Amino acid sequence: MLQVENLYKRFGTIQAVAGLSFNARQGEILGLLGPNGAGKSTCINMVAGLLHADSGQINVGGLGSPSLPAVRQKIGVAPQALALYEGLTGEENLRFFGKLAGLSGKVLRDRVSWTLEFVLLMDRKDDRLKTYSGGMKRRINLAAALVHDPPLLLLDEPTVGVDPQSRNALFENVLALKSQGRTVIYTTHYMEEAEKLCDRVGIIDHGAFLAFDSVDKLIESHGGKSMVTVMRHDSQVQIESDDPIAECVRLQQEGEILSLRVDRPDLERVFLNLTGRAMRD
Amino acid sequence: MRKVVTAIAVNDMRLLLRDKGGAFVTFVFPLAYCIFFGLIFATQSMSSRSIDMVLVDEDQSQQSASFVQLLKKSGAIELTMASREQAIDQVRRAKTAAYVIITKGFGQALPRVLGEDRPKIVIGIDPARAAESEMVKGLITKFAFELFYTPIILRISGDLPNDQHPTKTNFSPIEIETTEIVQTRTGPASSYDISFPQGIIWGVLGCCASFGISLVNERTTGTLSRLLVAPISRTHILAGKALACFTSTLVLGMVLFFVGWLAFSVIPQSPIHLAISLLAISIAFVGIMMFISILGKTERAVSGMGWAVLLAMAMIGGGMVPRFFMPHWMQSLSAISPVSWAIKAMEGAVWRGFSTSEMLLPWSVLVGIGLLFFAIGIRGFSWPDKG
Repeated sequence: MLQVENLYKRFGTIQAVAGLSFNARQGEILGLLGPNGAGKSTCINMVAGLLHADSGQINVGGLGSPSLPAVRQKIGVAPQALALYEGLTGEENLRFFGKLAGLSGKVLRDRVSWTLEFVLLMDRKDDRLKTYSGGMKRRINLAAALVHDPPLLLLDEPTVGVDPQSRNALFENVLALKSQGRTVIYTTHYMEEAEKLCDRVGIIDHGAFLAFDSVDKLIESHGGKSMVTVMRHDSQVQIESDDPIAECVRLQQEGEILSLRVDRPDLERVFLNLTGRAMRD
Repeated sequence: MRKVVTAIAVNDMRLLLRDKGGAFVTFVFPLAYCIFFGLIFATQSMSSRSIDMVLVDEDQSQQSASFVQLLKKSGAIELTMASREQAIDQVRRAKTAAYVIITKGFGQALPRVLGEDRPKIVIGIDPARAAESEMVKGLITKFAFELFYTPIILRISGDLPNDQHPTKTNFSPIEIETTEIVQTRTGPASSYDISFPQGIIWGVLGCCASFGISLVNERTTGTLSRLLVAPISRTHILAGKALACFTSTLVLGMVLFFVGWLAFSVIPQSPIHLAISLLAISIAFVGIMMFISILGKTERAVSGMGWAVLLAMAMIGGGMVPRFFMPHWMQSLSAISPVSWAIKAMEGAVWRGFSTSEMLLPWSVLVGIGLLFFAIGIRGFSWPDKG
């Protein structure tokens, strides 16, 4: 569905994207995970056709570059900034963006209704956006990307600043989109989102991939060992182990254990191991 | 192409109407301006205006000279002397309100003020100016009394019975003949003819500022980026923005002139010229709107700089004070302001009676301004992907 080859983009002295290459398959959620300023949004903007790459190639659905309007017809973008008209109602926003995509008449009405239902905002469709909560705005932002029924969705940090309920609703939306066969490129700096949603994750920093694989394989390759922490009457012991269960059995045989905790490696550990620092946020 | 451009334009106009401040500046304020200044100009002209007349002294006698002196001293009449032909021509072309001809034999007829063969004065005035006509007649009669009453009438009427005394009848010591001269109107019919073009200019400036600022707002809020990733071209986006400003300006002008016609008798001498003028003005200010949008990076900067530019245009161009109140040098300077050409185009169609060839200049200048500023605006516009 999407082929990106050797993409480069520089802003002045800053190399925002430095040789990114990846493919996204139909029905796949592909995560771009990285700290702020890593180059995720720049990458998304180039794939969306908003920015021109200094070099490299992007091909959407075999149709060509997103600089062509006909190719952009296949792409839906939910930008990180809530790029919507606050003075218009939810429905008016969707109708407007649907019209820009060439929809009209019954098709437009049906698509607007479907997206409003999909993001659970049908009951607020006649309210102006300025009366919406942060989570509702994020959901209508997603709806605006979906209204013209694109097979490729670019979701740039879609859960920034939303409450847990709205975040869960958005997760469900994204998983539902995957089940409909859409390809989703999902940028985030929240590890648990990437772990929960993405089939494959590219860990990106300074505009380049540090690793790119499925979540399990990333953890296996870069997560390191599990950490077993044991509390006894007189001491606390922390042991790194490739086989934490065997290690727990061994520790129990050595003496009485007050408490025991096993920290398996996760995506955050992968990221920290790869970048050597904490998330920048 | 057409549907997308229309969708963008309709969206922008909807947003303008939903913005109470923008809608007020664009629609309500100009109407208030038209009415307020129309009333002020009307009050001023009613209270202080003297009637301008051309006087023809065909008698050239001592008595006629005395009569002319009386009229001049009164202050109620602005007199200029001319020949009969000149006087008729000036009144016909509405250069002056009326003419007064002191006919030959005026001085010799003075002793016969009570008879059939009284001194005769001819007044020429437009029949539409009935009130002024009666006022002129009254003034002439009054001065005739002043001139003739004491020396002659009292002497002659001394023997008359009391009920036939001149002061007790509708007696006039002179015969006044009124000639109707239909004027070719070249001046404003009322103060609203002046205040409406000026008020409309304020609405146009409001439109221009609102849409210029909204373009920057689209960039800062990210909606412009969203438009750019939609399957449309930049030409669509700019055409939509331009169409919104163009349509709003045109509709504003039409609505205000309709209100002017309906409520204040602002009747254009040439509706076709007025329609073309409004089109030319809309083109000019679409270009200026685009130019305004590049005056800053933020809405605040564009709002401040934009209104500074627009107010300067209005000040110089006669948007605040009518150009004919300005000193001559200022009137010449006003040619650099698009507002001046816009007002000239509207006034040319409403009350100046410009011919089509005379209208071509303001129309061309306005269209030229629009194209030039639009080109500058497009060249300088900062798209989100460039910044």
